[in-house]
Amino acid sequence: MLRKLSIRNAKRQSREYSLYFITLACTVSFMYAFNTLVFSDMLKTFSGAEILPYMIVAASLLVVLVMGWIVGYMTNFILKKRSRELSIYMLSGIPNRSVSRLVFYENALIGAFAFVLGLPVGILLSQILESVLDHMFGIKYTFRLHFSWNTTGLTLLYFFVILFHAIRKNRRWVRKISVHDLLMFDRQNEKIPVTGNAFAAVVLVLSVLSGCVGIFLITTLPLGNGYDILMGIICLVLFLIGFFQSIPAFLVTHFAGRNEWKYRHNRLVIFREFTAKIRSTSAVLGVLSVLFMLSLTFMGIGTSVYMIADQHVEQRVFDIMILHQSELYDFAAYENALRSNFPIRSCHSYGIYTDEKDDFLTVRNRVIADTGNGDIFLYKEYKYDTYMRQSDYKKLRELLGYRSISLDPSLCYVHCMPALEKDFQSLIRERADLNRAGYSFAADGIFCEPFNQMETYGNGWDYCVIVPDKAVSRMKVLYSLLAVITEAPLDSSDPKRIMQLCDGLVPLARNAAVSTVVDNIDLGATSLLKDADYLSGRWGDQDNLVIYYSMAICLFYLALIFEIVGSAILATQILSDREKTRRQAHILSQLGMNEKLITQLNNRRFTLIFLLPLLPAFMISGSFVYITALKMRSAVFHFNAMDNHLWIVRALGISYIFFVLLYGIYYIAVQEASIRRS
Amino acid sequence: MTSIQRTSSNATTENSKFTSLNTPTSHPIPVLRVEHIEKYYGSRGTVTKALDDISFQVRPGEYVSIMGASGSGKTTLLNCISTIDTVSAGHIFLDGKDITSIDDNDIAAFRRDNLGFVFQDFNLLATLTLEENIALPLTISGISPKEIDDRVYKIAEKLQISNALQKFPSQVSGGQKQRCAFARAVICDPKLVMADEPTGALDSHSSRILLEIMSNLNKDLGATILMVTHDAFCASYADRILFLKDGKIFNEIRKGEKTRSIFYHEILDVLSLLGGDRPC
Ligand SMILES: Nc1ncnc2c1ncn2[C@@H]1O[C@H](COP(=O)(O)OP(=O)(O)OP(=O)(O)O)[C@@H](O)[C@H]1O
Ligand SMILES: [Mg+2]
Repeated sequence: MLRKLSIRNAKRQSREYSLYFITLACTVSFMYAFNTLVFSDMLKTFSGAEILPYMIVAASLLVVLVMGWIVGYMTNFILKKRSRELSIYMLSGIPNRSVSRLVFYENALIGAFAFVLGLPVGILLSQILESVLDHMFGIKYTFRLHFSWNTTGLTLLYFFVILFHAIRKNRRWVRKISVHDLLMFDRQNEKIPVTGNAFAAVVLVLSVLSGCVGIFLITTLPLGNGYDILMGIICLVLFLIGFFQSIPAFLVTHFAGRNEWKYRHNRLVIFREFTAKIRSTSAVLGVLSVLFMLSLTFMGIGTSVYMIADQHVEQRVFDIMILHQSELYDFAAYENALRSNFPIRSCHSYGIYTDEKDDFLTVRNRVIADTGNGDIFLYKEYKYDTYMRQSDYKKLRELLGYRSISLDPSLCYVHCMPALEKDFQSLIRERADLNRAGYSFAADGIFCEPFNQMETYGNGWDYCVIVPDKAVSRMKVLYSLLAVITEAPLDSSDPKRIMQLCDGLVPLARNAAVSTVVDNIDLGATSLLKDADYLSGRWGDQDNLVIYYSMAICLFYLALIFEIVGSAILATQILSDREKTRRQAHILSQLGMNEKLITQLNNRRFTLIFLLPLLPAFMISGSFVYITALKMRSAVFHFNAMDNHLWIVRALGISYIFFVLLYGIYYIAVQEASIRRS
Repeated sequence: MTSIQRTSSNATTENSKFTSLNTPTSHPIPVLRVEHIEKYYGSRGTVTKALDDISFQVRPGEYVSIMGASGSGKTTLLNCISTIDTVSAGHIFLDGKDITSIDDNDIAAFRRDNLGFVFQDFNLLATLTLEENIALPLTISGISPKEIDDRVYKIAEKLQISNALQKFPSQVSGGQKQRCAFARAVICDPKLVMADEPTGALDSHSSRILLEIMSNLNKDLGATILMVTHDAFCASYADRILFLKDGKIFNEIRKGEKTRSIFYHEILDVLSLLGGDRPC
């Protein structure tokens, strides 16, 4: 009998529970999708990818923790809203124990449904995720829908822990509650009017100040130790509490008396309802703000990481690049081996030269020092400027499909990273006597396309001087390179194959440099090059890349979960007032407000409530992402590969747009549900 | 008992309508004219006839009460007149305008300009102060804040709630709430004020104050009031009482020059004739 009642209840309560249900199902889907990566065969082929499963599991545990608490909160919230119904059960003689069992069945039923519905969606999502990963790692995506028992088991385990905690908490709550308590909840649901308060302004100003101090502490770390972060977090928490506590009273103190303002444009009802809603949910709004802030921060940082990794790949314009040191080398053996195994479109071998001049190197080092990255690597090979012949340069541009340019065979040019362009330009302009082997520099002769210059042992390091062919006759060959462009893009597992094909070829791992002694003095200068030929190219330096991408994936995972959970709480909060909103609409209609206007008023109110927790979240997350992205960039690039900070703004923009799109779904759901009210 | 006369609505033909229900007075044009309205509820098989061919008129400045047993159609009648509900047949004219044919877009504006409502459970907005609740209809009409203030204070004075204006509904008594609701109903100077059991949720003291105030507003400002009530005492404040039974007008009595207590006993007599439901 009870079981039947709980099924019927679950059906009837489906409106109250619908958003909660969708959120549970979404959580299952996301968990499944991301946890497929734990068991993914694809990832096992990459070195460095071993870390991703651990990261995902750690992120999932965090999700379980947060979700456990939130599911408990939401179910309890809904139960309180149903207190009248529960009190009727109890008054009609059903013992608490039975009612609590009823609630248990209800929750278990909803949970089971959510799991069953979330799983197939999760399988679909996992495919999307896999295609994204394939794209990241340059693998051609093949649709391979498959169901993983391992992942299902893991997801079920997480999900069970989340629900178990929440359900047990509620059972205990119902078992202990008395009819009197329930009736009190019903009364408590009534709105507490917001009255003005002179203190509110003070509290608001103080809390905003505290927020600024918090952001300052966390982003600049003035003390340089853990206390900064601790203090910063305390300040931010104080800010959120203070902000949401004081804002309704502040608004009322400053606007309630202004009849001139509030009696116009139907502001009265919105104003009063909005402030009342903030007052009655200030704690929840604070928590939501934190969730949204975390979500936005994670999304922003994830996007930045992705962009940094992308920048890495983008700078590596050649699919395959083989390096041989100290002499002009005949790469024919390699070329033949490659040609017989890969569809090669074109390739070119050439030399990088050096002499004993360092005008450009000096400028470059100064620019790096200015960015604050003083402790740069010193490489034995880069004590002087590096050069490339005009004919080689032209050939390489052709290979890359860049705009063809005409070079004056009696002038020198420069190809460099965008961030160096300005300083090199002024160097050339100021030093009219500047020349190489008697050839002076072209006035507008600086090019900045991606040219495999970002890291050591490419086409120079950050820059390369392009000289007339004759100029190199008296120069030393630093190393020679074979640059290869393939017909179809290589995928990230190909470097392994190439090394198997060609004996004596080792990967060019730029981080693993060998310390050397130069001129008998240990300058801390390093050299990587020994008696081997080195392979690099688009998929060189995979380990780092995999770590970046893994980080981005985990951050997105957390961000998504936090966002849907936060939005669901907010939506539930608003929809729980549906009855009240309906009654109010009825009154307004009797007072002669037309239906369209009433709907508009409601929508405006929802919009305000939806925007409010975003306000602090956007502020705080924006500064976090900005600072973190800058720090990451300077940690990853010895030198600014992006020529300005626009990319951070772009990363922020992308993540905000993504966030708002997902948020919008909940917003629309709330509007739809409230329209269906009558 | 002498004044009891059965009013068969069937007898009210087009021609006799003006003379049969209204004593000829200096106000020949009625503010409200209800003509043969019918209202059915339900669909397929079970149809309830809530209103059955009802016709009557209300003159400007008149205070009319509607009585009847539970389920006799009082609320339905009021809802039809107030444009909250639609009639199944018949016409209702307010100030010469047929409100059954107003299209949905104009209905809100019409309600705002012509009608005022008071309900048993006050229907105040809990998050607004009493002052704001009274001001609400004026803000909807887009009246200037200055004028709103003036009018709110004036009406609050009349209804004796000036000192509670800054309070919220949850902070004042039921009587104050109902007076506030009444102030809100009359602040737009509606042609007709409708009240559905306004004293239903009040104790006798508060009821009496409200009734006195309504009566004063009716006399001083000439407000036209249509009030549904169960209570004979409340009804005795009215000039005229319509009795409903099973969706029909069963009877109609007038106060005329009688004192209220005589009128009260007359009402009780009619109620006993009606039988059944007789509270208080
Ligand atoms: N929405 C509705 N749907 C169906 N029937 C209705 C509806 N509203 C009222 N009725 C029916 O119409 C008849 C008149 O109802 P009405 O509410 O007008 O009575 P009333 O005189 O106001 O009663 P009370 O004194 O109890 O308020 C009743 O038989 C009622 O059952
Ligand atoms: Mg009624």
